[in-house]
Amino acid sequence: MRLILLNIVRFIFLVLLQVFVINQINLGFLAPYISLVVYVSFLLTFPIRASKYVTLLVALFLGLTIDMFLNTNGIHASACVLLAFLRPFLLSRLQTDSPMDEIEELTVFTEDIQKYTLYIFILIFCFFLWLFLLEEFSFSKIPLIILKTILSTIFSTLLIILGQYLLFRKPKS
Amino acid sequence: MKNLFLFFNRTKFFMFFILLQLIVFTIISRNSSYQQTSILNSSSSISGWMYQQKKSVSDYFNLRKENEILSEQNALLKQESFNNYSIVSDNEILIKKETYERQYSFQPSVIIQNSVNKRKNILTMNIGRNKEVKQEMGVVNSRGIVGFTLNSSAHYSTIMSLMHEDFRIPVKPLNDSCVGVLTWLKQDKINEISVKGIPSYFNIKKGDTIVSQGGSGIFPKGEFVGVVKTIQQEAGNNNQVLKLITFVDFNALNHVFVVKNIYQEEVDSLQNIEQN
Repeated sequence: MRLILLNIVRFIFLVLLQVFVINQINLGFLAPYISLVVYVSFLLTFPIRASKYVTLLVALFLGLTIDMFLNTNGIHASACVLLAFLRPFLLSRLQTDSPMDEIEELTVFTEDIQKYTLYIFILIFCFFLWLFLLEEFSFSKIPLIILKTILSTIFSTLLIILGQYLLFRKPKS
Repeated sequence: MKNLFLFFNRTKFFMFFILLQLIVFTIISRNSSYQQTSILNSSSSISGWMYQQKKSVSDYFNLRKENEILSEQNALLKQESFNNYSIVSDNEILIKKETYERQYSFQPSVIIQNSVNKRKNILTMNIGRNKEVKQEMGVVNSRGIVGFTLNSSAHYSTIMSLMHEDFRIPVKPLNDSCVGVLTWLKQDKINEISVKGIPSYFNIKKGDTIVSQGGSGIFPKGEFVGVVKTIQQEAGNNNQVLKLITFVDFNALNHVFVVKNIYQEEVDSLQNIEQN
């Protein structure tokens, strides 16, 4: 129950942060190449014991909410659903040493930082690649799409990890 | 049969994923053409209201610039006044009130959500069906053309900005009659736009002003668009491509006017008769 409430608050906070703070940042000449996305942090730290199907539905809803604000016609929703679909496969690989059932959600504090960064990086890379492919809707611009994906992934991953250091607490052990 | 069930059981999660993607793709494909009303847009009342709240705070930061624009516009209006003209010809031309009938009216509004970074930039403004805003009405500000309306809710509307790859309107040079199509090409940056389709034998110079042609009925004739910066030959045919700098600064949009064509219904009903 506490976890559900926490996640609802987190959902609202991250959507507002994305739309009213992150999207208002003027990146100047880098603007066509970088798009900063922090709201997917919600899906990355979504409770690991939640059903996969619930995660997919929540991802769809999150994406559609963002689409409503940014006028992007459902492409964020599609990318979010892809991310939620890929997440279980990476989760099963991520956890090896610490027992799975002791923790509720994955943050920088519960995981090995290198592994965790890789986990975020892979998921966000797939997210952006799919997002930009849908946005441009052509295969002729693959080099530009790859460049945008890599730059956006690096900066968004950094932002998300820094944000987690600021906003999450170390679980009591 | 049993194998089939086993197969579906094993790929249940994947099937669910595909199902959700199909739902999303129907939304994407339904919205991709701008004439269709979309379900997801920021003119909806929740997000519109929230953008309005944000705007009410950020307005204070732009006051100085807005004042400058307003006084600039006042100066322009003052210049237009008949008192500034002295009579130079004895040929009397009678201009009565009955000679003219108003075709366009302007409704003031404010842009509450701006967007410049994408290939398809869509803006949100704070009037909607309550002020009789419909689809495809022109939006201008004191300097020139901004875009035209797409969807409206009760109190908000979305606008297709000039900085949108699907934007097309007929334009012409201020002192010439040739007509070109205004398009935001891939290589155009923000506050830049191109005009295609003007034959090379029209002598257009750097620094010429490009205005709307007014044929579509969305914008009045002679609404400003931009100044010609460079002129290029289009590959493969005899046309030229004009690169413009827009008069409107799309990074700092605030007060705009929605153009209402009073004759629009008349035109629409006539065209309906022709089609049926």
